[in-house]
Amino acid sequence: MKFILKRIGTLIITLVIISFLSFLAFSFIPGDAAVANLGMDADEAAVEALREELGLNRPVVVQYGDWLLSALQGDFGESTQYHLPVSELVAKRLPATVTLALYSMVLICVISFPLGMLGTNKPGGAVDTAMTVLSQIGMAVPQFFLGILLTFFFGIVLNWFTVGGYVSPQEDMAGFLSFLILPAVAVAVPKCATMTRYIRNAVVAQKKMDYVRTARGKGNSEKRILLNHVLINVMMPVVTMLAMMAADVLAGSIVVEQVFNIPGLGRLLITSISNRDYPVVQAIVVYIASTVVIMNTIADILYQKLDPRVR
Amino acid sequence: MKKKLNHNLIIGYFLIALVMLMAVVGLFYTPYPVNEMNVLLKNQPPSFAHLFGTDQFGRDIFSRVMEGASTSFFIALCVVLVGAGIGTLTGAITAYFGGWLDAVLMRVNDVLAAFPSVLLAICFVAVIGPGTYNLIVALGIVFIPSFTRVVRSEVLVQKELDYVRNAKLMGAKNLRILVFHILPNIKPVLKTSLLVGFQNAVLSEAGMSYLGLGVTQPDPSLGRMLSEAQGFLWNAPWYALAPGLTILALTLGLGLVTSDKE
Repeated sequence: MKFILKRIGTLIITLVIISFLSFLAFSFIPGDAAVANLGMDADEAAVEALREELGLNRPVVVQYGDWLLSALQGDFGESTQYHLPVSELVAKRLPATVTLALYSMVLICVISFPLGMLGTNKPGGAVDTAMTVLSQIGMAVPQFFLGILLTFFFGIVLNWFTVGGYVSPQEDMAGFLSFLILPAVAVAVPKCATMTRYIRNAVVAQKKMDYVRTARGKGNSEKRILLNHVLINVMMPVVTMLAMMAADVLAGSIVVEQVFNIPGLGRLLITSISNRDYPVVQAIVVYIASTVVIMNTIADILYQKLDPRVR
Repeated sequence: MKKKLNHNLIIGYFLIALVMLMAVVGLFYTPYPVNEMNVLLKNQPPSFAHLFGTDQFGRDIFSRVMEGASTSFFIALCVVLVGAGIGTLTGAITAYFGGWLDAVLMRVNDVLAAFPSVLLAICFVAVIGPGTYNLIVALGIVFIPSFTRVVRSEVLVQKELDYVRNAKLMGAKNLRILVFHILPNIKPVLKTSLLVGFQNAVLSEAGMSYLGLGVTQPDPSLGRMLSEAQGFLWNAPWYALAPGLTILALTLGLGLVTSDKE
């Protein structure tokens, strides 16, 4: 319990630092909202008056406190490009990104475990070597290039889906889910490759342990040893690794959304940057970073709960 | 087992050398001027005159890939130098001296590490603007924490070993111990993380340029070529293949060499 409280304490401090840094970074950008609203050659007095009205002439720390208080109530200000509340914009784009990330995580789990254990009966054998080569290629391929290749083969050569034909979940749930499969593959493949490699190395290392020899001596089959003995011991580091991967998966979706033209958080982030819509950028950055930190904390706590040796 | 690993190493070095050759030659010579447009030769398929075909403005893709490869190499190299340089320095100093400096810098490091690297790079570019040098600064900062962590954990182990105590007894100064005694001993680990860092830097540069947050027009960049090529997948699929496969060759080569070092 003490451990959990301590972890949550660190979490809160990290979250505050993250939000403060993001806030600070965007307050350094020359040209504030007052100038942006009135134009470059506006009257100096008018700009000053608007600054006063928007509260931009107060110290950064005060402005941050204000922003944090309203952010905690779900109010992230107003987008300067759409003139809509930021929270509304983000909420609208969230389902696509979250679904894409979840899809990718499921793919990573489903694919990496069997592939990682494949060929571990004979390290260095033909199957193991083939898996090594495959995972090397998988780790090296950029997600967006993979996305383009998938678009080409499945969208243009085979014509299985409409290129850029995203449908929102409100319109057509099945269409939405099936459209996101290929983007999820593009996000997941490099991570699958890393994970497969990681599981393979862990399994090979575990198989050299004494308890495996004992299990073999008791007459267990190789399959039983792998599934009932080795896998449990491999599970712990793998769960941590998966939680850390969640960050990469979210970051990967930012890029892959661009490839498949999916209106998710990533696309909103990129368009907001080119339109200098900083309230939106700020909110998305804080949102993604916080998600990552919270996930890591949950993984830490779970890890500690699952494995008494860590306590 | 040993022999198979050597296979990986040979293929890896070959792939790196291939892209490096393209990049180095691209600095001095390209078959066509990279920005020369030719309306009559729009979206031509690969031929002997244009090895990788031409793009939507009739520019020679092979020449652009060559120059894009040198841009990628240059940026990745600078990023790794910035990241590894500052990262090694902070990692070594915090681990060796400890104290409040260690505590503060490690906290900062933790916060930086909390951001997914692409997101952090995007943030920096959003603040300082795109462009080759801004991208180097942004990615360089993003790459610091991983090097700091690696070097710090290595130095923490090394500084307790007997040879460091011996050197101290003989009156060697702290700086001398760090540079001439500890550094050579963490070299193998540092080498591997340099290679991994270089691979990540190539991938990040390509990704950022693909998103339009990296190298700006008219400089050719492999990542931006891919995003332009995406609009011509229907009638010129080779356009996307050329820069994509070049990035893949480089990252795969680096990956194979790294896996051998492990």
